[in-house]
Amino acid sequence: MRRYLIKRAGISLITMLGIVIVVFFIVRVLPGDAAAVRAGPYATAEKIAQLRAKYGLDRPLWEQFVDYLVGVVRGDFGTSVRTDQPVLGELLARLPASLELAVYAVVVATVVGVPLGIVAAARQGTWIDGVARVFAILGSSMALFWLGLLMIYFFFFRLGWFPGPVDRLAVGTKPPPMVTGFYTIDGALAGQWDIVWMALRFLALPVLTLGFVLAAPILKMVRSSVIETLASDYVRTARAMGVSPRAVLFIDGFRNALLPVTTTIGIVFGYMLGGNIIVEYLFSWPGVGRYAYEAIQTNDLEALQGFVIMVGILYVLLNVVIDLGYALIDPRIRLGRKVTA
Amino acid sequence: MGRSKIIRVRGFVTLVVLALVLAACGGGAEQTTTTEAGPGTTAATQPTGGEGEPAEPGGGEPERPVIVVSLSTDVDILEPHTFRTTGAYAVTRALYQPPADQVFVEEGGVRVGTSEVVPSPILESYTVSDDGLEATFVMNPEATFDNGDPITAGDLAYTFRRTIEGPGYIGLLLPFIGIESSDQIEVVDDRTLIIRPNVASSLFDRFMTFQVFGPINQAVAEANATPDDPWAFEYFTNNAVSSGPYSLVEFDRDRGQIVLDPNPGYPGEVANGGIIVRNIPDAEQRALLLQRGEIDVAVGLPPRLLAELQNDPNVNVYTAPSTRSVFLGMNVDIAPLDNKLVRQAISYAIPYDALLNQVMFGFASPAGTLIPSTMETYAGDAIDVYETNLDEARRLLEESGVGEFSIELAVPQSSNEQQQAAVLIQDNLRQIGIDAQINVLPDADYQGRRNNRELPLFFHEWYSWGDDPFYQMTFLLKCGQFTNFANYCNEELDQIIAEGTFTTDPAKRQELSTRAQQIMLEDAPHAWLWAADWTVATGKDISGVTKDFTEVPRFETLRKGG
Repeated sequence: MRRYLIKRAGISLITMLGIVIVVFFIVRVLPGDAAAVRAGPYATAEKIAQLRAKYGLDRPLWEQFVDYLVGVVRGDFGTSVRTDQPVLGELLARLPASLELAVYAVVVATVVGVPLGIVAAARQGTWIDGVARVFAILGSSMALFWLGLLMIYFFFFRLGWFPGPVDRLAVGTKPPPMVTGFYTIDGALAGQWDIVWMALRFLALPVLTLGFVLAAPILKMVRSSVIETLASDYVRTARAMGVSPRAVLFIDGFRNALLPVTTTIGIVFGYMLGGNIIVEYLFSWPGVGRYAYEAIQTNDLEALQGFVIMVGILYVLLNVVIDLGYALIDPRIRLGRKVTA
Repeated sequence: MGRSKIIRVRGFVTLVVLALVLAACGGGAEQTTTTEAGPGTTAATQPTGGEGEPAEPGGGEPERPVIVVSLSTDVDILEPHTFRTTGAYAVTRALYQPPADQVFVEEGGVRVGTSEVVPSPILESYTVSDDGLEATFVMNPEATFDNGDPITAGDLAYTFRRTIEGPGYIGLLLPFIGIESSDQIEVVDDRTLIIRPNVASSLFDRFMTFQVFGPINQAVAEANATPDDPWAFEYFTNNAVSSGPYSLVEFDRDRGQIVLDPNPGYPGEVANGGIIVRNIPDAEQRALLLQRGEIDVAVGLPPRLLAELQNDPNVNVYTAPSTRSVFLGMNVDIAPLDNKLVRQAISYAIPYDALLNQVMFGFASPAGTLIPSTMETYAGDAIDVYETNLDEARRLLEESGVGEFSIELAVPQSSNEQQQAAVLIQDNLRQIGIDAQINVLPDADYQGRRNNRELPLFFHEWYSWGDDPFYQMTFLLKCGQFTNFANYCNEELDQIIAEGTFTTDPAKRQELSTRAQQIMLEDAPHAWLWAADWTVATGKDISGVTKDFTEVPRFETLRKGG
């Protein structure tokens, strides 16, 4: 296990270095001049040149890269040219908002997608399966932006069931004391149940929007994996031996389908870690996705590459966690050893 | 999986569903919370009604509600001499009170600023000598910063010196009012400041109403200065010691929220109990929130939404003519636009009426020239402005000898109106034999290529703070000017601009401006599309909406309820 962890950590570090290299150079070839953006639309050429020098943008690319790499290792992701603030600090301040949204969205997607996928697989070809497949097609094909607009229009504007897309809490409300950055948890820890309630209400629409779309790939994966395992020899044997259909479905069928399902949920969660730019924009959600949107709009290169690198690092870490989780799910897997059939 | 596990899963699912249903069923009754109060400020204010419905502030005389305002951008920084976004423009106006203020007149329910100025509440008097070469500012002894320090002549002098010597961009404005050096600024005593411009300028009074000349607390600035940052720009990026109508209570850049309380040291009137500024990036959502009463004021809504909101009984849409010009720039150094006849042909091919009605939904006036029909000295009947005439456009194109050609028409991604206008213009240009290739660019790319003079045909929107024809021409048509993106140059026009900028006689200014408009119409470096109206949408219970001639949103006059 230790050897596996060391090896995995080494691979992760190399991957992260690769991410930094690729992101740094890709961001540099994007069109636009960061110094001109910082200087404002009506700055003189001299002013732009001064800022270019101040931010080191006039130096050779390799020098900029070495400086940046050293900075990243030290936890310095540079300074946002838009706000003059350290990028890492700005990202970390916004990350809990994105994570809270991501966690709840993935929970909803899993809670909807997994049972529906199992039922659809168990009742293959019935009307329930049909409903599940229509749900999966809708979730896969519906644009997030469109779905979000519909959610806001009907559930906020027409029906007034949920609060408007202004933030994580009502306008002017003071957030609970920061512990995790999740308002639902921090509110509970502080005993501010009104804040927890408000935070849940503000989470509802963006979470349902994301959950609907994210449930589709989970549902499809669960359904196909369970169908595949239910058609296997050992399931047929179990049935022949008189094991109850429910036990066959959940113990032989679903448990054996868990590996690909876990991978899918991991991928979905990783996708969400990057913050969802569209949903955060639409719901005025103050997360890293919206931060990235603003960075793109203003050509704030430091902010943009900081965002991408942070998401890349989180994704790598998430994959390590998923790999470790496999061992818990499947007792045949022993980390650090070869799996033999 | 055993039965107990299945039951646990079922229980969890049930709980989640219940939580969502309960969340959906939650009513408007929310708790009362309190925002953090800053030093020297009154307690702010929080929701008691529905979510987003600010409560009455505690204590005091007739209680004045807090007003929730959503601007079109976020607030990037609070530094008054380097801010960039329109959100920061509005908030810094609330925190820095300029020495002079405009005289306002009531027009259609809007307080409209005129070019006549008076001392602002932080001044006791403001006078300019008859020859325009000496301006005297006497401070109001009752005016204090929000930390309790008196606002002195030294603070005002420090602010002017900061604009002259500091690294901000405000120095660009100073030549228009004859200020070049800190030697022209004299502190007579704690209450009296004299500025001696080296030339009389009709813009001096107007410029004194700009927030960028609002006093900065010198003692605080010097306490936070460093050798690398002697003017404390870094400190004022995130902090403010207010000389304006409001104190900064909270600046939460991460959440896009700013809370402002009335400044107890401000001697002027503040008609509300405070302002909460929220950044709602999507205009559609901003409009929905306004319709549902979750915000009180929405700024920066596109014309299409404004047209819809005009039919909503819960919303007031205020409009007023403005000199905000939108034009199609033609780079005179890029062929075939280097041919004047081609530029004239394009100007005749523009569907001006369609742009006003289909793109701007009537929320605009005809532009005519770079001095739009809504601006002082517009020449009106004395000049023939371009009107849509495709036959004349074809004739000019034929006369130019250029023949049919293809050309890039660049549009910034952030402007829906300009993208719609591009499609209409493209259609008309096709009819005269010009194939305009619309290229929608990310804003940063657009700005970079425009600044580098790489765009042949491009859109540009401009509003002159000074609302002055010669100021406007200086920036957009003067030879070699860094914002003259069409690279246009005409020596006669340059002479007119130089003379007009420092001419105070109205008749002479009119004469010079008329001649300038004739020249620009002949040379056609731009096609002037429209002058966009100033607009703001509010809830029905909001009054006191003000149109400052700098078009900065003014919060202190907004009133909610009776």
